[in-house]
Amino acid sequence: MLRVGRGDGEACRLLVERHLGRVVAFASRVLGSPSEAEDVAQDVFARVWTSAASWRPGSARLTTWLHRVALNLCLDRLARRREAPLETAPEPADPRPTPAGRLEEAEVTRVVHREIAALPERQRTALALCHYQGMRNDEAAEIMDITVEALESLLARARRTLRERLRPVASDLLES
Amino acid sequence: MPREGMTLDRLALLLDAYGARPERWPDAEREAMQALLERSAEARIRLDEAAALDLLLEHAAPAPPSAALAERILAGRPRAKLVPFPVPPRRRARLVAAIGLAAAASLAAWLVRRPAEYPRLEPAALAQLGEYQTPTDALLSAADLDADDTMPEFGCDDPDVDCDEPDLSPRPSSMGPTARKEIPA
Repeated sequence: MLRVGRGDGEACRLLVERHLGRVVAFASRVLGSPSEAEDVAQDVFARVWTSAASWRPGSARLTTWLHRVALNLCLDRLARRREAPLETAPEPADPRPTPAGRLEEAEVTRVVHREIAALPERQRTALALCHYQGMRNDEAAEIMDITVEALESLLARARRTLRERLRPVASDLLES
Repeated sequence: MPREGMTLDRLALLLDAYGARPERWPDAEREAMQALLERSAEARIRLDEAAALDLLLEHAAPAPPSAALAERILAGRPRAKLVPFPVPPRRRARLVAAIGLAAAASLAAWLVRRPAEYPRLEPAALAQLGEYQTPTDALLSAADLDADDTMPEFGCDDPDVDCDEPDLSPRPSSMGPTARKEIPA
């Protein structure tokens, strides 16, 4: 990070290579929108560039810091969406299978994405951090500024909801 | 140390929260969970349900970031600043002053320079410029030479100097064949 703050081009490029994909993936799950996720990632790294020169080693893990900043930016966007729900809200989930009764792989993906996007914001965030980003529960709890017990509660509710909503998809997937 | 008395409800909550993969379970709970799974068929049914949901969730892989995104991000990265040669402040001030004085002195010298290589001409000398004599003048002024007879006919035959067509017909000399020039003393 010190090299990044000094304008070391190679260090900046390495930082982007290592963390950009994860930041975009996390923001994409929280927002339910890949294009908005890229905007958030760009804002995250803009803050990295301005903060790098004053980064103190040991003050925080970089991944924790990146996800915390990304989450805050995502929450800002979600709050703006609530003020303009008709224009920017994701499509409501529709788990009904196609008339043929069997779901193709791409359709399963689409349905799973929609169901995750339909989860409440905090459940969706907890799931993104623990299941998809592979974070430890204490790190995820720190990012969300909650206790580990609260995190486990959010995760359990999220997965139970998904299990119910995806049951038709799961049975079709097993049959196919 | 395994957690004593891991209940099925606690196991179900942890499987609901973290899924079926042991590496995702909390470190402090993992051993007790595995012990219960070994001895309880109901616990293994819950594990299979969690694994099925994990499989479905793996279908929601996010799209990779666009290639242009990384370039846009890197375009805004910090740039290395030029570090000036480290000069002590007092010495730096003297150096700046010396450079400034030298530049001013050079400018002043250029403005007031007396060009010694350009001799000044008096008015009388200027007036005589048209009488400047070359060695050729001296040769042509010899008594046995008639400049008009030996010199080629004066005419303009260079088309680049905008002259008319030359008249090449022979013309009589204006001074006559026996006229002599007065030679100044």
